[in-house]
Amino acid sequence: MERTKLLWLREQLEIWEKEGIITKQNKTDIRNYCGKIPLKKTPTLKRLSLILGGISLILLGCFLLLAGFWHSFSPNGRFDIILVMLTVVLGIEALVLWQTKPGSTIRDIASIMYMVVMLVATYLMSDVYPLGDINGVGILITIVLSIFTGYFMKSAYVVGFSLLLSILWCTTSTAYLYGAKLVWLLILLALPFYKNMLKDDTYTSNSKIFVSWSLVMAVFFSFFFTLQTTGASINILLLTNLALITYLLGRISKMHGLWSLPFRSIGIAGLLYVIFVGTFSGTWSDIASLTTIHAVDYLLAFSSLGIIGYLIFIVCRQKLYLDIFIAGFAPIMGLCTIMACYQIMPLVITVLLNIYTLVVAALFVLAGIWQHKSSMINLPIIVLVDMILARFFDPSFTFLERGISFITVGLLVLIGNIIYLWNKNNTDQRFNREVKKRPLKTKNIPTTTESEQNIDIIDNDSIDNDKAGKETIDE
Amino acid sequence: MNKFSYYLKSPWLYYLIVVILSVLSVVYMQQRYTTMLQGGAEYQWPVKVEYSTNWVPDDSLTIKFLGNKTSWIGEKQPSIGKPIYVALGVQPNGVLYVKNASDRKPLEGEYILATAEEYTDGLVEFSIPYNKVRVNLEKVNPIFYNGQYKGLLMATLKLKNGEAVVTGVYNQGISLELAEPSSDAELMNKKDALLLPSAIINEENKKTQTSY
Repeated sequence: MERTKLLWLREQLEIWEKEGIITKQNKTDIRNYCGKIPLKKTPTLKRLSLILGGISLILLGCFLLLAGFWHSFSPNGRFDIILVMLTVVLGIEALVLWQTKPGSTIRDIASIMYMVVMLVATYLMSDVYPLGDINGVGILITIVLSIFTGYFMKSAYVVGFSLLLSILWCTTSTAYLYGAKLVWLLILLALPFYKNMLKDDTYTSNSKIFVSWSLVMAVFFSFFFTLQTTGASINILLLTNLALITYLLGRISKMHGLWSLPFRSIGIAGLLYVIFVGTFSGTWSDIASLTTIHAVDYLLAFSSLGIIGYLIFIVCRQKLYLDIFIAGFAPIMGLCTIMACYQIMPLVITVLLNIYTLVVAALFVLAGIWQHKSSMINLPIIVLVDMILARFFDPSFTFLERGISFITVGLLVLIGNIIYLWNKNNTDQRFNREVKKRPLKTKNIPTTTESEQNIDIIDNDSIDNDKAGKETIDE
Repeated sequence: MNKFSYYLKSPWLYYLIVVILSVLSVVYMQQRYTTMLQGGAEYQWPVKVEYSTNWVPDDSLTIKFLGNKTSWIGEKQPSIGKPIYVALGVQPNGVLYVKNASDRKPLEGEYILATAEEYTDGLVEFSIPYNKVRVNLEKVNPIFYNGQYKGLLMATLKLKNGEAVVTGVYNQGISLELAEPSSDAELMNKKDALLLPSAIINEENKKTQTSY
């Protein structure tokens, strides 16, 4: 049994015994049945935060001491201090590598500490030897070396943070000068680690989820960065395909663990963004006004469609039929783009996209009702809210039209909510009325008469066992 | 072969690589700067200097390069906040002047990497990120950097592949640490002798009139 459940049970057993619901013997039996509470091998998140907080405070203290006198040192003196800092952190890392086993929390802490010190060291270097961009080169060096550190220290967190740092790096002018290729190379550098990590049991579930979030976010940011630097023309189609690939990968890997959640979440978020943007006629007017579409865009669009096709094939094999309709957004977006290129009215395109979105939303609602899954109904609601919000900014509708429609939808939501709450309240009250009819009166250990009175509430078997236990002792 | 594969799998090998690369990377950052400082031709650029008070004591002045507006010859409009290439010309006396700016690296001549700040009517305003000069602040007259000085200062800088290192700032040929600020009357007499591009002087005069 899980540790948290056992801890809860331990507390409850004491209360139940005191309340007279169970006997001491019952308590012992339940304890024996459930087994020992497993001891934690890794520190809790709270303890980990405290350790990290303490280390951070010490480092900040050192930093403040150094900052006060920093500029009184000569450039060479500052360079020496930086080298000393690096030597110390590398020494700590060596000690940790030598003394600890893979997957230990100390390794994670040492790796993150190396990353932070490397970041500070390169920042200080760019302060001593200023060459333009605040620390673009330094951040790049830190990312590469931290990913390497993640490999030999077997630290998932440092790789995750490196991927997040690559998002920050995209904002520097150094990244803009080097282009998007380098960001993709950084992600590729982390991919073998990620692949091995998912199969390796030394990594905790939390670390796997964290790296998954970081990876998917880094991929999306890199994609946006690529679009920005290359000036891609059919952004909406490419973004749709990326979102769908991410979502479908998450869907087909759902059974393998919770690490697939970021894929599904960010994939759906990307798709919602695309639906939001796609419902504006201006988006399609912009595509219609394009004079040329780059060959790279065609290549990316077709290759991503091919990947989606392959993923649909796997989705079909796993009998996730409803996801095929979500994947259908790829050809629909492709069709919309082609229509826009052929100068078809943007309004027609937005209507087509809206109809398809509503059809998929309706299918999800029906499936949710059919399978009694409220989670399936949530997605269409979010999609509808997304589409309604898009109208708030849509200049093709007058303020009067938008105002009235928003008030109407708002009232409908409120009325729906009131009905739902009223219905839920009724159910709760009905349940409470039934409970009041048979109150629990016992406070002491049940004796013969009391236990007979409460026999319908207390587990029959436990009373029998209790009696049997007493008889055995008497004998 | 077995021994080789054993070493290849050892985390210590990768640790050693990280140690070497960590040290090399900071040495690289140092060398990148010092190599530029030691080699190549030195140019001049009219500037103003400022001192920004940070929470960490600083020993450098921030340089504001004058004449930072030029015609844009790039294919697309510049993205604000993103790097651009500024083509530079050199006068016979070594003073640099701005020719134009583009999103593509100039094929010949000197150029510097800058950041696009504003774009209007085919003109782009830019800032140059190589804007720090280390000085002994105790020796520099605060009038130079507290916004009171109306004269023009000259920064010397070295250029290489679009990157620059500011080697010093001078007031009428004297290093800022030794120079004394000129009076307004002296400035009026000496302005014509500076041999600066007239456009920069006119623009600077306009700004000075508005500011003071």
